[in-house]
Amino acid sequence: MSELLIEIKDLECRIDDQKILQGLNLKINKGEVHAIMGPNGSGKSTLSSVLAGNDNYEVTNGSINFLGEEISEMSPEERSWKGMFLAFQYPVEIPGVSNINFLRTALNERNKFYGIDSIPAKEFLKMVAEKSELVGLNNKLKNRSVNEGFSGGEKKRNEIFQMAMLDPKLSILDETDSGLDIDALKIVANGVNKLKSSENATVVITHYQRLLDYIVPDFVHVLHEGKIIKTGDKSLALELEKKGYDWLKTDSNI
Amino acid sequence: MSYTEKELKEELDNKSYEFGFVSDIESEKAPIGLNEDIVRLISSKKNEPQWMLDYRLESFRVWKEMSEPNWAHVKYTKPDFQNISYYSAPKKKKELQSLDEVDPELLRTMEKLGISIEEQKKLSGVAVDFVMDSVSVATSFKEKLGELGIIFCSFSEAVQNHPDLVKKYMGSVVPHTDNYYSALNSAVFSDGSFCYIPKGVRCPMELSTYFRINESGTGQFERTLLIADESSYVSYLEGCTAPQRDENQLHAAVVELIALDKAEIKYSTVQNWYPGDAKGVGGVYNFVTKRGICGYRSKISWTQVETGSAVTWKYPSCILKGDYSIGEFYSVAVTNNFQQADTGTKMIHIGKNTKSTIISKGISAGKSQNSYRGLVKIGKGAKNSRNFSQCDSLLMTDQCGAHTFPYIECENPTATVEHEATTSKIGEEQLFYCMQRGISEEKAISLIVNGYAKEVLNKLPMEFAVEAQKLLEISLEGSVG
Amino acid sequence: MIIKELNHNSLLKENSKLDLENLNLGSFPTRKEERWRYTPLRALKKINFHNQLNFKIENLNSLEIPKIEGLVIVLENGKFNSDLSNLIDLKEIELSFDKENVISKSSDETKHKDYFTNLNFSFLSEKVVLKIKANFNIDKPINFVNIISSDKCLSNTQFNIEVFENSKLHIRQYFLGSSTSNNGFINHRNEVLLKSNSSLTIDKFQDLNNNFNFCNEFIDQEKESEFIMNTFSASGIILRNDVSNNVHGKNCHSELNGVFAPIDKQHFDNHTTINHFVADCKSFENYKGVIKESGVGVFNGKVIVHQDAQKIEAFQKNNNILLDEDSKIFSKPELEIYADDVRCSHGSTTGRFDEEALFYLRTRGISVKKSLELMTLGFINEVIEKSTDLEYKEFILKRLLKD
Repeated sequence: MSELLIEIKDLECRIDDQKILQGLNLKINKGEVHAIMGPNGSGKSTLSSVLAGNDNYEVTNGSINFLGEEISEMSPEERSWKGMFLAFQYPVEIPGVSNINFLRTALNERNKFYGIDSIPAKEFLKMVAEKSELVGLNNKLKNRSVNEGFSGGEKKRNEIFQMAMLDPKLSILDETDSGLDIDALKIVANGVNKLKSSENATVVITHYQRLLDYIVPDFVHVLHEGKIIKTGDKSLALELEKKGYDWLKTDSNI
Repeated sequence: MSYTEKELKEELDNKSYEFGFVSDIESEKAPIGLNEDIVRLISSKKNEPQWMLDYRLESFRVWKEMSEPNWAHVKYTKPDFQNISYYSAPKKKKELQSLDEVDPELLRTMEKLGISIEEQKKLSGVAVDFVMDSVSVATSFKEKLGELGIIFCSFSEAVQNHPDLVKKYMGSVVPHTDNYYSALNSAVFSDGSFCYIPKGVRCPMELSTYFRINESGTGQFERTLLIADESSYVSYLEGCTAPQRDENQLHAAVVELIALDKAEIKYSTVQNWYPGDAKGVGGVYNFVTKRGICGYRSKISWTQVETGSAVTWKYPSCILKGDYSIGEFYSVAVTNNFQQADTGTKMIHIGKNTKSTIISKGISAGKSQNSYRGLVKIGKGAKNSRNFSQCDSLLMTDQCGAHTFPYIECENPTATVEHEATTSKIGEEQLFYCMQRGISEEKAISLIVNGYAKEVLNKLPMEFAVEAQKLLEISLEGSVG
Repeated sequence: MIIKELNHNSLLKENSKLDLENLNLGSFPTRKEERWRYTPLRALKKINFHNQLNFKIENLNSLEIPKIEGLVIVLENGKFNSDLSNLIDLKEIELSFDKENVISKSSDETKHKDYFTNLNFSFLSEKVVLKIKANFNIDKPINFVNIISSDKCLSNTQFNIEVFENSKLHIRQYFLGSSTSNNGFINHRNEVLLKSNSSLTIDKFQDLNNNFNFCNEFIDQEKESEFIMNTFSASGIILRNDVSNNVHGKNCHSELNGVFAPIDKQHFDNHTTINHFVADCKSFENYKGVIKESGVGVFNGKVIVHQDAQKIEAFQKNNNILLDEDSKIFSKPELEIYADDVRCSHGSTTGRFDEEALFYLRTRGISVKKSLELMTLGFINEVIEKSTDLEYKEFILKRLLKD
């Protein structure tokens, strides 16, 4: 019997006056991989932002229960400490702040929250060496400023590297495949697969079925107008690739 | 510089205005007000020779004719110059042979400042000339420097012991007629530091002076004269902290640097005068004239981290007189609450193939006003000269202001001058990204700001870099609206 | 303050000589004032001006300007010249010479009550008022020609332009000094009011030869309006433009561009202020200086973003080329920002042309002179190409390059 990780109920949210999520329901157990697909503007990226706690979006209804706790009022950092990780579609550049310093700060802040001592430099560096190997991150990139001057592929790898360092319970990969060539895609997917365990879960948000060849989902959800309108197994993704989304839209209207 | 970020993020503990205390040393004060008699009194207290008194009196005469400048982008109540005491010295006046003779209260003060002289001596190899209430009371490492022929002493001592050098160079870069505050300083300066590096000598340690205003109602008029003779090198650190006060304190210093042919001077400042409280009450007025002159193939580099003072008026400048000389200015200026800063630099290119670089990073928070004002002047004869300026401003709230007033004057067609400036808000996306990774908002701000200012912080000597980072963090506490 | 008694008519009777310094119009500017820091007024001060208004030009074709079509309003030596003008009747346009017309709602607060404004109002000889009614789009440029043709003549003129809602207008202004006149002075004032969702482009061309020209300009913009001004300064003893662009409504676009090319001790001065009073607006500035043979150029641009004017994007650029010894440039790009959610930047560069590029052109058989010309062209093209009228563009280029 698998253990419940997150349960989203009737989630509604808006930005400015525009309603985006309109009653979204989703349950994810530990050990599972979920893919969320859907046409442009269906609310995929909004969902990831809302789960991570971006306060540009106002949650107007519903609940998000993460590991037995309601988190919809929680700050982004606290969610992060609890094990939520978002791999950004467009990773942000922070000039002058090295990747290493950034991660060390992140880890120590979490330790502080849990009343644990700061991680000793030696141990930290060992961890960096191990985890960066996972995605073949160039050593130089670790000492460069966060994402500054990184290529598209380097940025995405850096996201997975950070994910490995923070070891989250729930990882949301927001269009991590966009802008990646096939080799980079394999490396990123390989990293994600290695991090998979019976204790964590992954949500893959994507446009294309391609990524799902490498990160195989247990469930595929189709998002449309802020709602999940169909759920299936990985064959649904193949079907979508062939037929597009229109047949589903008409379906849901009936 | 080998300073890395690794260590410094670790323990930046609680920091209210930790240097905000008043030490309790008895002071000898001149009566308040300013007239010729006061000028004579100051001079006689210090046993000065006639030529020094004449210089003071001439400066006083010039000052009386001048009026206070008002072109800076700052608003404040003009100080009442007749309501200031122009001289104050710790009562203990005899020569100190060892630290035991130093007033224990003073030692405690230094401890709080984190610069216990003993420790400094042993551990860091930094010679500390501790200036308290305008008179030097403790100097170390003098002998060691003496072996190399380096003179590092209080200005008063220099007047007594090295009159030729003082006579030759004092006022040669900042003449007493230069501006209102430099004229005032020239008339009433209390004390300061004097430094001479002989030909070909590389000063083996960072020379450091800690300034401190410590007596309520005492204006502080420091005078620094630094001469680097041909082919010599010196790195000089100046740092300030001031106790919390309710009334405004005036600080009008003059710093003159002379870099003779092929010499190099690196002058670093961390300025943390009391900025006034969160309501804008009190705080130091900091009206400083800092200027250096460069000989052939010499270099002067100003680095400053400015977090304090209620009102700042300060433009460390370089006169690039010698061919192939280099001037640099690296600055981080943080203003919070009701602070006002009008600061920048002047790069005057006179010699051929001269080069200057200006990097200025302003950070405005609270209801503060932060202005960059700079002049780049390429004279007619400054063939093939180059300047690059980058002036960025970061805004933390919708109540503060960030302003850029560059003056570019070019009279030679072979010169290249480039100026860039940007003004923007602290990135919301950056903040959210950090927070998603578990970094709290306050920490994230400190991280981003330090990253933003890194180009300048990296220019600071190691000892100062960490302190400067702490200062930035302290200065911006609770600053996000 | 405007001294009403000093009406030019009465003065003409008593005295035909004007000594600028002793006109009782307030203190004559000196270089101690920040605004006048770089402008040498000695040459202007020395001249004994008169304001006798007579016509000398017989035909516009005798002037160095391209053929002008459509509506043409010509002032000569400060007075409307009906022979040279062509007032074709346009139903969308209302034209008058009403000196009492007041257009600007904010200029009273913002206008510099300075010496030359005062001079202009006190000795105003002609004011042209042009209004375009709502909901019209006039493609063809309307031409305003302001000529000085008499030695030492002082001409104080004003041009008010009001563009009503949803209308669009294009104006070409020519400030010209005839090549035979010396030391004349056009002291001009433009006032512009743009109603909501209107659009105005002004191409301003200054070719004064051996005469002076100052322009004080006030532009008020209401919401969703667009204002573009391109200033081309080709010749004159001293040319000075003081533009004050005040944006009062949201979603406005403001654009100030210019090329100034002083030569032979000429002094060209561009001062601009863009006031962003409200949120959600964009402004752009792009000025290019080409300075040679002892010419002096000044650029002083200021962008002020007032408190609560959030989401402003303001970009300011000034690039200068010094072509030879003795030429000078003073550049002062300023930002004053009192709101936090903004994107503002400015850049200023001064230098000479890349030696390597010059060399490259020469290896291809192009003479130094031609190469420099070519590179100058490339340098100013960014601004020139804003005009889509080929003939006008050619003409402007020719005059700026002094070809």
